[in-house]
Amino acid sequence: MARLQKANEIRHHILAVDETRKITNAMQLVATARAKKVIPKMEYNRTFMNQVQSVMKDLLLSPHLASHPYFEKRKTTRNTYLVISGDKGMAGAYNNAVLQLALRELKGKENVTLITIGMMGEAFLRARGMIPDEHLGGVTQDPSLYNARQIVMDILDRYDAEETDQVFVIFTPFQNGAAGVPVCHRILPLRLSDFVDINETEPPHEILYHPSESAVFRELVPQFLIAYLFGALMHSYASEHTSRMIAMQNATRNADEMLVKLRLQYNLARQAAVTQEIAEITSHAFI
Amino acid sequence: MAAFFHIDIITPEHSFYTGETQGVIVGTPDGELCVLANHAPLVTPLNVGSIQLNIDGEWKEAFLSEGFMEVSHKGVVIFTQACEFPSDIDIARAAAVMQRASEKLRQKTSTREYRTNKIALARAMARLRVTHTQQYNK
Repeated sequence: MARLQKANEIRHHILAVDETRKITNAMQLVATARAKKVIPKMEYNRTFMNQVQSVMKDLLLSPHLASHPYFEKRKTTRNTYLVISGDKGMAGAYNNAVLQLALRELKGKENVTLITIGMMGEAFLRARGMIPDEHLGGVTQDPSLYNARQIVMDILDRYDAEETDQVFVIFTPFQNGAAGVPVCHRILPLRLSDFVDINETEPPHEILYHPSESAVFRELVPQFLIAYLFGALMHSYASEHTSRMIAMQNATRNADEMLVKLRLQYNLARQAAVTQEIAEITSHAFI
Repeated sequence: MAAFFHIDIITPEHSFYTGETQGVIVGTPDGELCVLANHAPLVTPLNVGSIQLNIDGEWKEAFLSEGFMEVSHKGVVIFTQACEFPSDIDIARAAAVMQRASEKLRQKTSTREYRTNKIALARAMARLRVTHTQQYNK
């Protein structure tokens, strides 16, 4: 009887592992589909960014551009951090890597405005005593241009009202088809050194800015920031889903290996129970 | 026959149009501006409104959101948040946005909401205007 019980236990275990395997497999497929949806869009955004940056560099090199608030280093340092993480776990090291970077950046800083995008980041930083000043829900799941525009408008308002002097974005770039190393980039104020790698399109003095340099600059900066943040959101989204895809791939493989072992054990136990029963029956028959 | 030049209309989401054209008309803060081939290098912001492209002698109109235009010796690049041909515009949605935005503008709201709604209203009206003009032409 004891042997039969053991076989039953293993059978339950097999059923449980099989159920879990179904879930991890489904999660892997969903993550793959989501990552695929956003990756082609990133290419367009990169072209847009590159072009905007080259116009921006032309403008910054123009001799007539007077100093502009978006370009000036202020004396005070009240920083705003925008931390982009996932809404859910089960994505390998993705959330942890970006949040550890955020923790390092935020540690010991005074006068910080913290804006979190993604529930994991909100919960993580709150648990460590850094209460986010603002949490933007639902943005991680939907890296749309509309969302990027809303966030940039909000940041520019804070910056214009001189509530903050520097704005940083912490996110995970998507590199070579996988989540890269998380980075912390300053997006405001802008510096000419940010644009060293960019080619200018024309000799700077030949371009006509209409109606004026500063009017063009005022239009250009939001466009640039929206494109940048939209890119950051898409990169994070693609990183999160590829990380999850890989994590779930591993989980599914582990479940498969476990099932092979468990099925072998189950068959052995079942066979042993049958053998024992036959032995018991035959021994009774001779008595 | 006017000379051709290269034009790119790009948004952060997609490349709307890339190809040769004989002329382009856009709205700038100072009024409408027509760019033909061999125009001097120029950078200017663009208003929310419409863009007209001369493709093979035929003027085509499309909706254009806020952005800016760069004219260089290589051609014209237009950077915008959104650009749509009239056939791609969701008229019902634009009408709904227009109503909502104008309703909100009547209420007392913060400066930021006022600005957001004003842009939303301008976009919706431009979308509707572009679709209507095409209907009249038919």
